[in-house]
Amino acid sequence: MRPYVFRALAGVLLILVLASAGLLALRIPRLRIRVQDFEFLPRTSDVLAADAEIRRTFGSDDRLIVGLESRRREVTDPAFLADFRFLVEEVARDPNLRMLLLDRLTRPRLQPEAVAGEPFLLHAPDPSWIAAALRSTALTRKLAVGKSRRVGFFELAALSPTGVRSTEESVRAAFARLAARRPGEYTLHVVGRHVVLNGLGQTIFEDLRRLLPWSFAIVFVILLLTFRSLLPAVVAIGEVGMSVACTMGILQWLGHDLSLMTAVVPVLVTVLGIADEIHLFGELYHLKALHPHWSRPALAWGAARNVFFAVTATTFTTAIGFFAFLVPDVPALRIFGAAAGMGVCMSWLFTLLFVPALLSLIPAGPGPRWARGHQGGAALSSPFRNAVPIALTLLLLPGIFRLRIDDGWTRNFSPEHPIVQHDRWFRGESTGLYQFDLLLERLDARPWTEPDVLRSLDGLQARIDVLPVVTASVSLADLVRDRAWELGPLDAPRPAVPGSHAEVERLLRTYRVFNEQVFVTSVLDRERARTRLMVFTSGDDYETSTRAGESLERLVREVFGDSVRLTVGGSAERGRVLIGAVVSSQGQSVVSSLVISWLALWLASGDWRRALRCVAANAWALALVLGLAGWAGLSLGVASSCFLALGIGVGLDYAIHLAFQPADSDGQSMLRTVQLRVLANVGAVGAGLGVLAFSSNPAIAKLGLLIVLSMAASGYAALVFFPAATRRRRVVAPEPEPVAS
Amino acid sequence: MTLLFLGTLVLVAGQAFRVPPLQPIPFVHAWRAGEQLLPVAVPAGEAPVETALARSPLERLRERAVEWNPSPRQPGLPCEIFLRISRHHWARLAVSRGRLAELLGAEPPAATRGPVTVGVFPRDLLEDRDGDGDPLDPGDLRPTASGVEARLYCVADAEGARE
Repeated sequence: MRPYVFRALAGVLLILVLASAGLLALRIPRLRIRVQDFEFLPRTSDVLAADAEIRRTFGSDDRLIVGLESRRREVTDPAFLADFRFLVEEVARDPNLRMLLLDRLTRPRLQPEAVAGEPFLLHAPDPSWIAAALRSTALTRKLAVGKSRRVGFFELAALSPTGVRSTEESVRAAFARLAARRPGEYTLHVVGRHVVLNGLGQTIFEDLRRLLPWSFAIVFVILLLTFRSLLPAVVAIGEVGMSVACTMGILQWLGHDLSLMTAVVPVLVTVLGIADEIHLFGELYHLKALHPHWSRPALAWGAARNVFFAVTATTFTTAIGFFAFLVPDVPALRIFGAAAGMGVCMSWLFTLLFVPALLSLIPAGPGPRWARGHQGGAALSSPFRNAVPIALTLLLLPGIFRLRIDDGWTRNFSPEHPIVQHDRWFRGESTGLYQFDLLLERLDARPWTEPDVLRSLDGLQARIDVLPVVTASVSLADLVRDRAWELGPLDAPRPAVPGSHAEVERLLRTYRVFNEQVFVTSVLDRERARTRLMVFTSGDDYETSTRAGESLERLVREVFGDSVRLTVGGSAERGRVLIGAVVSSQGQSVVSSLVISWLALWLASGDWRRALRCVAANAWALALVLGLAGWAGLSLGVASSCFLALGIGVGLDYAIHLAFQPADSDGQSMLRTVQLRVLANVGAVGAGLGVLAFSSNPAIAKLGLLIVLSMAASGYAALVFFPAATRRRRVVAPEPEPVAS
Repeated sequence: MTLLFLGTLVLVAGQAFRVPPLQPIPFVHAWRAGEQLLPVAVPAGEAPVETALARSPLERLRERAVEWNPSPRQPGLPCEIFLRISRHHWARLAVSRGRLAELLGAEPPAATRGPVTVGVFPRDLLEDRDGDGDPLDPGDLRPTASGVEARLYCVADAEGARE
């Protein structure tokens, strides 16, 4: 083909690729950031079914909790009560918020005597009523007032994450008006599960905005230093930039949001795309040194053809590593796997089409000395042979048995983050944010409103309340006993569960008349056959939730035996299940991607032993990192366990490049050159993904650290397992062309 | 190799395109229409929010009233009692003329153009002496301005039957 025709075709290809990338990039601004806990759960998991059943029976209980904390006044101080009401009324000025509001402290209560000028049944409680309620009721004490007695709470139904964000703004604006009246007197606390998840979304966005440019900058500098030329750095950054733009554009086009998992995809695609560029440019300069008279298109496409097998095989195994996430039925993992897999495939396409087309049109320069090959020096060997690998194995692998699974939503923020501070404060002052919902269904057709059945529930609750991991619990018994006290004398102690069924029903009916039906429907169904016991725990971490969950199931069995069917849901149970599910499904993904990678390499190369050695090198490297993590006390969680898949996806590449290295035209091994490329690759990928270690999200920072370690270990393992050139792939290079004049 | 790669890519891309976008879980209420007025026991000092839907005082009362009796409305009952529970909400009880006579201790008016206002002592509402499920017992509605305000509306029997 004539050179000008070839260049014209390359130009058309470039325009097409750039136009497609540009069109997809236009969709990126429409990407939404959303964090949802249930996206990490298998769609068929028991806890999701339990949650759906609980929601259908008792309604949603997602809440935004507002706490007003006074510096010196107690809630029974009339001035505090006046200010608290002022805040509630300021929030309720918005008719929409007014409809969502539940004032647990100062809402009107029954006044048995007539009140002059207020011809109605319920009246704002006075300080003496609140003081008595704090002594003699459960719900006011547990939910309306903080343990310090200087905090009052009110709540707003959290209909959606976006709604919570705007509600929070309105509450803060209302508090600003209160603070203007009483400067320095109060502190506002806004807590809720949606607040944590919204905060996490915000952190993800800020992280992405900060880390992605750094990732680009670091990769750019490393490429500049590696090739000592601006061209490879600029072309590679352009190529990965297009890959990221297309991937995120496709993600939006498919209707997905940016989540905790997909937020790391841009950094991953950037860094993984660079790895192929290093090999392509390394080969380009090597060919150029060997054949200085070849034309630019001949060099560009020759280099592409020479690295084709290795680049395709590495992309294949990397993509398999990501696509293995499509196996478990966990939406967050599936979307992450699909996006990251598409990203690396996109990068492969651009590396083998866009970059050679571009290099056909512009001069590439001579390249660094190391990349030209045959510069003398033996293959790297001393730290990769003999005793060192054995010593590392013996020292590090036992650490695997010390590994722990631990995670929680608040682990995604630094300990100083306001959300963590509010969460900790709320746990100290009140119930804490995370709860188990125990749905108890009677199998003997007796209603929960029968006195002895209700007494058993009350007894169960008393035993649950003394568990060290439990901060509080709320049950039907609380509602009945509290209302019995409210209808009686103010100075009476908290009454026991009533002795007759009719009396229990009478007390429950008053909730409806007092416009408080929501309290009853949240713990008792219409048929009286099912009740919900809400149990709040002292933490959202895996260990606490697991311990609490086991204790709760045991106590329910002890109290009710087989007369009750137990279904467990709630945010604490979801957290417990999802952390376990994600970590175990990551384990499945790792094993399946190792096996598939081995089969694919075997099929592609026809050499099963070499393919197995590649996989073994990678598995050994990951085992070393897991052992190190165990000794260092790094626990595995939702985000951090992703390093395993990345370690396979990326780490396997090094062994493949060494196992299936090309030989030059005179048959001389390029082992040292490929080793140096692998080391450059480890440096670029490790440093590029290492920026994750500077994430403000501690879980992502831990992931970054583990990735860097696994890159280093994989590079090292590749050099250990492939210390000598044992196979040479024949270079497929075009016939030399005369120098273009 | 290339064919294997591209074949796998097509298969997996097909899977990736079949991953449905995640939808947020909707907020669910467990109560039925008419059972619960929102907000729950509104702030005491706030004035009620007026809507443009109610055209008369009776309609306005109906709009902000909780049905006292959880069973469905009985269309033939000619009288309605609205008991003022808080500054903003009321409990509505539809009764027959005979039952209203019992509660009042006197014969009710045949029909009212506006409300007849009577009073109830709060303490009387805490007990259900006749055991019929609502806290109003015979004699609880008193012709007095003190206590809890109750408004009575009655239509002529023929109008009540039409309703």
